[in-house]
Amino acid sequence: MNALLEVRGLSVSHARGARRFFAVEELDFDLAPGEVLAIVGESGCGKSTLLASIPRLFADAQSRIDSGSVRLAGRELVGLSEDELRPLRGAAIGFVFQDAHAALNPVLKVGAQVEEGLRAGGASTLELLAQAGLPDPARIAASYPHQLSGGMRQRALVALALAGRPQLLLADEPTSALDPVLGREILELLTGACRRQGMGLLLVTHDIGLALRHARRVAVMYAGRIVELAPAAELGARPRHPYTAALLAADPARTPRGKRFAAIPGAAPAPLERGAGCAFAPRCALARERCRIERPALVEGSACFFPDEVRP
Amino acid sequence: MIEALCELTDAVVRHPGAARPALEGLTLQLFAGEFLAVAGESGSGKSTLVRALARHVPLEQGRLSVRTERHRLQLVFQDPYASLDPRQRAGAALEEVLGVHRVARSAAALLLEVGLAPELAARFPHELSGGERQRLAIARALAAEPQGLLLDEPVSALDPSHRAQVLNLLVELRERRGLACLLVTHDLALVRVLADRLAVLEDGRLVECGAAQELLARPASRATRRLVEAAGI
Repeated sequence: MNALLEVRGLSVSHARGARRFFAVEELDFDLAPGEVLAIVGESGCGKSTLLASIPRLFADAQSRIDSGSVRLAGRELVGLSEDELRPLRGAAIGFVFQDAHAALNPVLKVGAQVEEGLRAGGASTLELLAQAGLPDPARIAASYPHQLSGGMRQRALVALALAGRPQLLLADEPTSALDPVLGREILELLTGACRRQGMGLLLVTHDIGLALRHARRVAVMYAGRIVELAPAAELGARPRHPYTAALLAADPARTPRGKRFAAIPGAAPAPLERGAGCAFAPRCALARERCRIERPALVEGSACFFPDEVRP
Repeated sequence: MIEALCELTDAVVRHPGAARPALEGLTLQLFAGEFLAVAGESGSGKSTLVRALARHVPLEQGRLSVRTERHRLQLVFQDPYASLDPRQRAGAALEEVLGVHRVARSAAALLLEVGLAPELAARFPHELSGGERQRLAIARALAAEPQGLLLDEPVSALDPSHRAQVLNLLVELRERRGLACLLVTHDLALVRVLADRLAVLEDGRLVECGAAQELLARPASRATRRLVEAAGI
């Protein structure tokens, strides 16, 4: 099947004073229609920057795509003007972010906001609110965001994101502010929409357990690069990058009772302090001379010179 | 019988203007040295419970008995800034509390105890990483020489690696100081690893309380079952 989203050699930089640094570097991946791809990593690894770079909605106006290609259904997005991108945002490309407060307009009733994004021929506002698991959709539609509970707001946000029947949905930590019961329901809503509508979902999360449960494939990012990309079941059972193995070991759900939690020693390098070799080498038990001088490329799903030595 | 550090009996708490009470007839003890986890979905009353134990919110009905000096129970929040002054350097934040409680320890010793380098004493909270900031908040709580820590989602805003470090710190503090920990969390995976007892709240009421292992293996209530399923454990 043709890819819905094709990302090739994507590098994005941010400005800090007069200096620039790469937040994401040379990313390559595809997303198929109906597929859920999770992007996993710790704060500062570049996963949110990756997501923001697709519709070019950077938090900082000085951030920019330096090189690479992003194709959505065959159409190149890099190089499109602001006027050409704007009609895609909220339509072909939908968003769900962590903070429903920031995403919903506080002075507009929920129904009106969903209405605004509706596409002809799709579900109605009330249908969308009901699909998002909101009881009494008519009452919700007539409410302002602040009149809803946190859980209802997040559901309203899902309805809003799906109103334009997006081909691609970008979700940045959509459930990390929610309790796990609600979080799971929201993720099931999103993945259900993927199956039904053939929508592709890029799911950014720091929770590898959640990624394995909800995504078909998982990309693990470290210091701006994808270090492992594999089907969820394989990656969870047989990680082929030491950072993936470390993230899995740090997952509380994999920690035996009474044992210490596995922390990863050290910290990720700051973007301006990344050296020539593998960025994970200073924290890696498998690292040797080669890792410190040469950067491993992503080959067969792993950016490690010694993927067969990685132990889960 | 083991001593209860504090005990809520039939507690009712109502937030100003709220129609329904946030806690409805809740009875719960925190025993000396134990690790008690409190779980529940959003809005179940977990945070209110912690605030009631710390006397941050008044009881409308019921009783709170604290069998220790009040400062012997210290609060640690999800957001370290809830207890840290952004304009106060780390060392000064600790010395302030040490002074108030006339504790003869140094800020440097406290920083070391929570795994922070003593040089960090000169830093402001915003100059620390999220994990370091939460350790500082814990050090500040320790400066009062508590017998128990009341921890409200202390790691849910942290990255996996920092989360692991802060949780391991709690385990060490418990071993070293015999501290009781009351951990509010909605992550039952943490409960399974850490907790002696588990209390599950729903709509301001205690629906289950008992040995954590037992409850996780055989949840009797719908609330616990839903949390167990969502935790993927």
